[in-house]
Amino acid sequence: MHVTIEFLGQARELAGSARRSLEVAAACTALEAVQRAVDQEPPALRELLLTADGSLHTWVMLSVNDVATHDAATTLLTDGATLRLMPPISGG
Amino acid sequence: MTPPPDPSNPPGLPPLDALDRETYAWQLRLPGFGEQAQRALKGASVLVSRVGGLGSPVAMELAAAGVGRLVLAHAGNLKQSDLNRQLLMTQEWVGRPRVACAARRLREFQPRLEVVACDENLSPANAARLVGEVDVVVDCAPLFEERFAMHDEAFRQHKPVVECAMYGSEASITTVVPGRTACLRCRVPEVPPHWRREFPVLGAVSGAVGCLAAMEAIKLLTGLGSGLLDRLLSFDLASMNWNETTLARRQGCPVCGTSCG
Ligand SMILES: [Zn+2]
Repeated sequence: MHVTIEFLGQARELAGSARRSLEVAAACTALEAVQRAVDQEPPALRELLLTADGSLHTWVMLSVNDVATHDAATTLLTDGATLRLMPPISGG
Repeated sequence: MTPPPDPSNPPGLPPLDALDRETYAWQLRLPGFGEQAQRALKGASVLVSRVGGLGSPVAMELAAAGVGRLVLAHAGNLKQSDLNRQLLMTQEWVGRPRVACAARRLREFQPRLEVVACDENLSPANAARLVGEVDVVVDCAPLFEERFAMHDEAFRQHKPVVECAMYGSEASITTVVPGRTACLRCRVPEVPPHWRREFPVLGAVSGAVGCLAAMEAIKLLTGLGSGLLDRLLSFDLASMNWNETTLARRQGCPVCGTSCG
């Protein structure tokens, strides 16, 4: 199935653009889709978003279809889902 | 004998006088606003922490709307490189305390406004005192340590916080109401190591989210409209893409996880 990943803030800078399209297997979790997406990106993007063991940093907000999830590893995606990754910003 | 209470004149809110009615004539026409909302603003006190690119328009718009008292917290002296965005500053003030310049500009603009100028940034040492002085907090701090000090204390004191931030051409804003919404620590439980004090800023971006933050504070104080409760609005002014994300509490959040249901 087809999903879209959107990068915001510093993730967008490191990715070079805001959006990626991805083909994933049925029953793919949000975390698996993020891991797949960043595998093809510069290592700095992976470090910004994921820990060494491949889970999402606690402070990176991930939303699926505009709803934030704190449990990327068990959130199942559906065809056409949009995932948004937001490393926190604090500019004032 | 005590007269019966007049519902159009609730006790505890300061009355409007002729100058108020003239100053705020255009906003008193706003549907859902009216005299009682104006009196609520007149009687309100708001903490704006800091008054740089983001906090300057927040403070200016709150002063314009008729908020009676602003507490400004911002340490340090004005630098030349602040002047691309810090709208309450002036060129001749470079080298002198920013917060004093901001207070002076606000008083010139709105002489009836009470301004409390604190030449310090929010920290665990002063958060209880500064948050304790106000009804609403607007968080415009450039460091997560400051944001955490402010939010943790606001949660303890059950005070709402408008939380806004920017980076480059992007910005985000949400409103945190203790006991009702997810808190900042649900989203950012610890200081993210990637964040650096120096970040790209275009003043029009910090100004845009600052105006939105002032509107959120006005809504909290008056009951106008509906606020960004458990809604994170994020936008990129370069592409004009706007998103809204529904937020949820984090199980085991270090701040709100146990004490509210
Ligand atoms: Zn929380």
